[in-house]
Amino acid sequence: MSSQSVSIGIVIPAYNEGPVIGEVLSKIPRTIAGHSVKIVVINDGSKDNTAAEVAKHKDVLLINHLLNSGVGAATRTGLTYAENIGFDLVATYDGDGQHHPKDLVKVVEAALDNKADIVIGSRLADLEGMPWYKTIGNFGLSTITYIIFGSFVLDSQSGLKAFNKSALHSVRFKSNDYSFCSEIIWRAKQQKLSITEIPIRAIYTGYSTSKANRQLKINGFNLIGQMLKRRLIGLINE
Amino acid sequence: MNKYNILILLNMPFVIFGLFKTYSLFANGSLSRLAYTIRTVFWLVVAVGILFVKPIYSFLVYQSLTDSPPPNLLDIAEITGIVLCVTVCFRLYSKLESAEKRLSDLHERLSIELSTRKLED
Repeated sequence: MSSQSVSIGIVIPAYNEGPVIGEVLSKIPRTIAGHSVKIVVINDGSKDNTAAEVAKHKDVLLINHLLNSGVGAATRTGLTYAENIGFDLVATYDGDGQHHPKDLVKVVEAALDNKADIVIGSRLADLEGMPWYKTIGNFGLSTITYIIFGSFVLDSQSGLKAFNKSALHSVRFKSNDYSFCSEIIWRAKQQKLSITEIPIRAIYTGYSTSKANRQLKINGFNLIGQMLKRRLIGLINE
Repeated sequence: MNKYNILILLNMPFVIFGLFKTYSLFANGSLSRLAYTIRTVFWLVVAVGILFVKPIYSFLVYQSLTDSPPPNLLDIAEITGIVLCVTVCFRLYSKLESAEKRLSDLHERLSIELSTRKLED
């Protein structure tokens, strides 16, 4: 794949990321392995200045969700848009600054090398700097994902993933919330797509940690409930 | 009329409807084979329970697994209500899922359309 020109899309779902989104966008490389990169930000009905911050970057495409619908819905909108545009390879990237741009390059290059249909940047493959409770929490969610969906990856909740064209075309997920990460792994298994993981290191700034903790308090058990609901609905309704 | 016949008469239409609906959903590709099997087995179990209430009750009494009195007309009305509720739940869940999907597709399409139009302007 890497010998020809490949169009690469980076999809960033963002909800109230005004304080950091500008810096995140500045750091993302505009070419990877000689291929041009187009960034698409899905502003999921933010109440702060996220849209204004994104608009400052003239080379970034901004899709505004009319209603706040959840990170899963925002990612789905981004992937649908990327598919409509006709990108050859699409990566998802968190808007809170917890990923290092070098890791994005690593993941995209692995996808360019056809290592698998879906390449996941795994924060659990390199534990340095990760708080112990996050290690346990993320590994626990990966285990629960395996129990519910029957497919194991080390870091099922990673926001850094790359999809090749066939994965982009065939993975259809329905979850609107954080359980979409686990559902993607399940849908990929259903479609017999290959998944591989590349070690990455998450950056824990005060901003990303406080946001993650806030979400964990709200979503921790909801996430497991949503996964179970999705699986049961899948059993009787799909 | 025998109360067991009333039970069959009141409930079998729901079971037949459930089986027929399950098959039609499977035939038009809306249900996977696994979901089709689970739903069909569910309705068949309900059908067996309704058709053989008397022998099942006798068996349970004989095995000392129940000491409740034989079902009366009120029990039959309650069972009919439960089967009706299950039928309605299946229908509603299917409709809710499809409405949710259509709504989120519409939202997605509108968001993309409006944002790209703004870019073109």
